[in-house]
Amino acid sequence: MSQPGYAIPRSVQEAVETLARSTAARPIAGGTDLMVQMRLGHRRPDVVVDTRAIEELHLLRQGDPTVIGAAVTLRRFLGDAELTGSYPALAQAANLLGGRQIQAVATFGGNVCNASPAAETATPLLVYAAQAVIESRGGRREVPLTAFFTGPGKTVVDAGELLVGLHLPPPTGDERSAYRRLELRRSVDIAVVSASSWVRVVEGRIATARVAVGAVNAVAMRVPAAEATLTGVEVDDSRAVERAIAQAAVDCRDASRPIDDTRASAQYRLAMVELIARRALNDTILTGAH
Amino acid sequence: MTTAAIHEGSMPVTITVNGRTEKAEVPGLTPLGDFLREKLGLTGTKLGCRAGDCGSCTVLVDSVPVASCLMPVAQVGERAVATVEGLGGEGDLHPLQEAFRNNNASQCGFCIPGILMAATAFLDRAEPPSRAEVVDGLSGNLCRCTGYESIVSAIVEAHTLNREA
Repeated sequence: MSQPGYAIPRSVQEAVETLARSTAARPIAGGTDLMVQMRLGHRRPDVVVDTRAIEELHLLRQGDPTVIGAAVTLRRFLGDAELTGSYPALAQAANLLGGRQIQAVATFGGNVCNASPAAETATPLLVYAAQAVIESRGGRREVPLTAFFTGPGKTVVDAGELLVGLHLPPPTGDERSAYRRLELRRSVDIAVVSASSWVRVVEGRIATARVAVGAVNAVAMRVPAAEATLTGVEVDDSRAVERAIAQAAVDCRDASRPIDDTRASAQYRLAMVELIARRALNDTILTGAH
Repeated sequence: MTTAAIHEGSMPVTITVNGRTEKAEVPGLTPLGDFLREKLGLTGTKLGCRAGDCGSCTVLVDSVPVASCLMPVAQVGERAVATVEGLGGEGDLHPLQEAFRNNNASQCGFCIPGILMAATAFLDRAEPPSRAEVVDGLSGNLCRCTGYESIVSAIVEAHTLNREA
């Protein structure tokens, strides 16, 4: 196999022009997925477009919206106390992705564009209602993350398009969130099942709830049934909360269509998604640390 | 509208390794670890899994441990690369190397260059690392021989040796 060409654009504009020259061009950020996929022949780009020198992709700031540039590394996010405090589920997930050497180079853009159903950052970004900002020669568009993943390894980012970054609504101060996963080993492993949840409590009741599960469907996804179950629940009514959490966890199981693979059987995933969703919801609503 | 130059085949690469400027013509996607071993003859860096799981290929890029099996050499740019060859040698051991020798922390040795480079992250801090912190910091490095105990002891000791040095 001949080596793909290598381009180092300096701007988003240059990058999308370069990507537009071939339908088999692919951006590279930290390379932690793509380098392995190219070696194994799972992806065969003809041109690799290096995103590291593009300044806009390194934007990272809390605000309205909070911006996480596509080329921001997990380690950089984890080193920002304001952001990790505001988006704890994302911090928990980022901290569990790979070892230190991977976190130093792996990026948010790479993790979502690689579109593993088990991608660590996918479920937290889903419950934080992230929007993907995608640029092409034709302009810029925003896609909610709920519509971003289209299958294992597939997203709405077309040939000639570049993910510029992720926009998250600013924290309001009355929300809580958490991430949980089940893995076979404690570190440097991929989730067998993962779940994130986020609730906003107004006047003692859950005003809005968002729940997402990973590694149990072709794409990481929100579970509207679980969110409906939780909405309106009075957080000081411990029996009502317990009941709602148990039912929402069942809703997550019912929404799951897992597959057998090397890490776990479909049956095991189905049994575990309820448990992991319950743990995420317990952390979010009962522990209430965030 | 301008496009970036697309380098087909080989491209000129200039990187700094252990303080020396190195130039070569290679495909931009050549993993840094292969570049170090094949182009520069720096075979202290070991390539194990080539998937970022084992950590044996760990080198420092601007003082940050990274997996050299996954970083395209064209992406290194202006950043300074440090490999195990730059730590020290016979008669001039780095505190980490001395501590690993004192603790018999190397058995087959394949993982050790990567672990030494990952462990440099602990040396600059004022307080010695706890064993738990070292274990956490080495989560990206596998050793199939030692069971890690002697390695953890060596890294804790290296912090002291480094302070005294």
